[in-house]
Amino acid sequence: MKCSDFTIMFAEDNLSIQKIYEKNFLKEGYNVLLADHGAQVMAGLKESKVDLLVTDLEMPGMNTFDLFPVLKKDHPKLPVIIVSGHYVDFKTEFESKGFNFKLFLSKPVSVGVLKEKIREILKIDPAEVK
Amino acid sequence: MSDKTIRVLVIEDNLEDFQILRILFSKVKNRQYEVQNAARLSDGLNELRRHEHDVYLVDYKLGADSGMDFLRQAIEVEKCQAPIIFLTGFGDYELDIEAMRLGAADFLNKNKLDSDILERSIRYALERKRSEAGRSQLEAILLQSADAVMGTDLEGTVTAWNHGAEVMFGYEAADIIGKTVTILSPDDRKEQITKIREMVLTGQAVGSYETVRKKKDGSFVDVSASVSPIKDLQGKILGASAILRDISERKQAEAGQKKHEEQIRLAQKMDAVGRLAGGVAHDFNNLLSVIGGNAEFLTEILKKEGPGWEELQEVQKAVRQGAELTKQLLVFGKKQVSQAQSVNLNEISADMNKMFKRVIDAAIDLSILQGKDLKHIQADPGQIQQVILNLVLNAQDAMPKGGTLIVETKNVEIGEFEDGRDDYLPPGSYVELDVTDTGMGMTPEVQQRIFEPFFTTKADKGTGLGLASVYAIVKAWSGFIFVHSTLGSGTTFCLFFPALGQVEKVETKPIQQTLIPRGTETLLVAEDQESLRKVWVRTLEKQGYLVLQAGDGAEAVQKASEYGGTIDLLLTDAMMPKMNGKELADALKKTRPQIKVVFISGYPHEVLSEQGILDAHIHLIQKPFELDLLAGQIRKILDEKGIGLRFLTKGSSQFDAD
Repeated sequence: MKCSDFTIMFAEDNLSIQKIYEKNFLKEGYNVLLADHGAQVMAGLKESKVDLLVTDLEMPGMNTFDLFPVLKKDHPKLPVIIVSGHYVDFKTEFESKGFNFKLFLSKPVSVGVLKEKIREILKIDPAEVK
Repeated sequence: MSDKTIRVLVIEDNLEDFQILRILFSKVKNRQYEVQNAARLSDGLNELRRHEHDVYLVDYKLGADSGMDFLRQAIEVEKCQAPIIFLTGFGDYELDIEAMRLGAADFLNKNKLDSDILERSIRYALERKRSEAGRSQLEAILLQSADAVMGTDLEGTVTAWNHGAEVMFGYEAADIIGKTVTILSPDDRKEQITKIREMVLTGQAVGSYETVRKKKDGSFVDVSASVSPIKDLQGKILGASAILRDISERKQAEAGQKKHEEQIRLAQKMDAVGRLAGGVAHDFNNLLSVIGGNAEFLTEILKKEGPGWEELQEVQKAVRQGAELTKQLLVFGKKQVSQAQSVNLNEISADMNKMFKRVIDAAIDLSILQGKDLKHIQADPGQIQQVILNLVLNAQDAMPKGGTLIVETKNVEIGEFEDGRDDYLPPGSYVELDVTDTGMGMTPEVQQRIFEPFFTTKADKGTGLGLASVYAIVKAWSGFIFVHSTLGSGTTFCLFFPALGQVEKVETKPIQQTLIPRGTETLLVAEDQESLRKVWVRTLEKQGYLVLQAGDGAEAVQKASEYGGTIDLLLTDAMMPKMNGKELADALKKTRPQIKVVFISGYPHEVLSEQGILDAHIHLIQKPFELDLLAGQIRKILDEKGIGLRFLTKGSSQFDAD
């Protein structure tokens, strides 16, 4: 599989960080979908085919915790990477929520690390990476 | 006095002589006498024991007995305070001297007696006794006072020394009288004592000043002292008197209070830093993400080792350091992930020994002294390792030329009224961990600020967070930390953690991977043992519950009545003083019939049933139990429909704080 076969949604309320995701992952060849808050994530997931979700834990309005039941019910197979600026590791908590939790990363997240992890999760053929 | 009738007892076997005396008494003008007679020595003594007479007149000849015997018995045996006047039929100088020596007030010749002589002799005798009594009372007060009272002459030589001074300083009066008073002065205060004496010798009194004096054994005592000149009747200064009061207890209490306040201030400061860090961490990390993310992006675009590439590496390095710093700061806000476990400091220090050997300089002689039967504490082993490593590395830094480093553990009991400790610790069982070095030591100023975040003495390599995080971790596990340091000779850090009850080794479990069930319900925890209650509350809060807590039944009822929302579950010790768990549950059910109740008890189910504390439809968790078990059990009970029956037998002995 190659990057252009996949759409990644980034949920992040900080626009500068959004931009970094956008630039880096578009450059990699993925389709990128950006969301500012929980409600946009839900709408986005409904309207588009999303293959992987990278979401900040804390967002204004509906936050990621509120998303969990929806993910469990409607998107149980969607791989999810959770990112947080706090160091509280809810790994075990996330694993129990019944959605496809993959990884927890503390901010600041190295884009290099994130790229690598996403390649692993989506089983991207290394030869296909731009 | 002149208006009062003077009661006189005449001990005289010769009735005729007695009659003559009566006549003489009756002739005295302006004075009333009530004169009685005792014919025999034994009668006289019997009367004397009744203390009804103001003065005794005793004849030398009393049939077979002598008036001398009366005198001797009255004064030596009966401790008679009233004056005794001796009468004889003839003037005998030897007898006179002997009577005076025994304590007679006067010696009168019956043949030369007239009413004037009699009146004057009695008046003088009574007056003398009165002033003597006043003086001896004053003397007794001074001699027996708990305050030290002393006198010196003009040169500062001790001339008087009371019992209080003996007790306070350890010198007997005989040891110190004749010696110079500066013997009591610590070396750095010799001048002060001389200066005060000079002031006093000009006639000034020096009112209560606080100072330190040296005891015979070389130790010091805090005193409040007043020094006054001693003057004769003409106002000439003869010397100085000093009254000193021992105020060490008050001074100690003040010092303890001050230390305690310092601890509180420091804790507040840490808390503030933690809150601040917690508050900015998210935003700060976002900023770092932007900086780091863009730097990474640029790094990929730029050619490796090309222009600007190296600079970008530096930017990325700074981003990583910034992230590390935020992480460290979050320790103070207790936001760090921690794993509460039963921890044995002996096991941890033994495990770390290998690591010490790698990191500790060869010039440093490291010994680990492990206390016997060391109790366990509740802590995160990783954090405790961090604490020990931090202290050990600090100790090493304090000994650039080598030295001795000791890591010591021991059990400590702090009693209810523990005196003489510099360090303020509430009563209880503790495990103490001391890290001692023989390094350069610290000034008191440095010691005071050592735990402050960002305070560092290591100009080049310190972040000022090492000891601050040690402090935060110790505090997070309800511990205490103190530093004792002497400039030039070394430093000891003393850490105290509340001990868990058991001594025996528990199997150390791998860090729990299993999920402890969480919840958001409101729980009310009632337990009179504070240490236990804290652990439970902390455990349950970590699982997401809102926890109200109370130290006894009455407080629990009050907390429940103040709380507006639903309380889903009451977790209570079955046995508590005043109101037991059952009574508390009954009280709460009146207003909150839906509340679920879980009892915790160290007693078997049957005992509680017999005492009427437990009926069958009640949940019971028996002590000791694992904290995870508690959380799991509570989740189960909360999820049950209605009020089911659950009876839990003794769990593994992971936790028992009794």
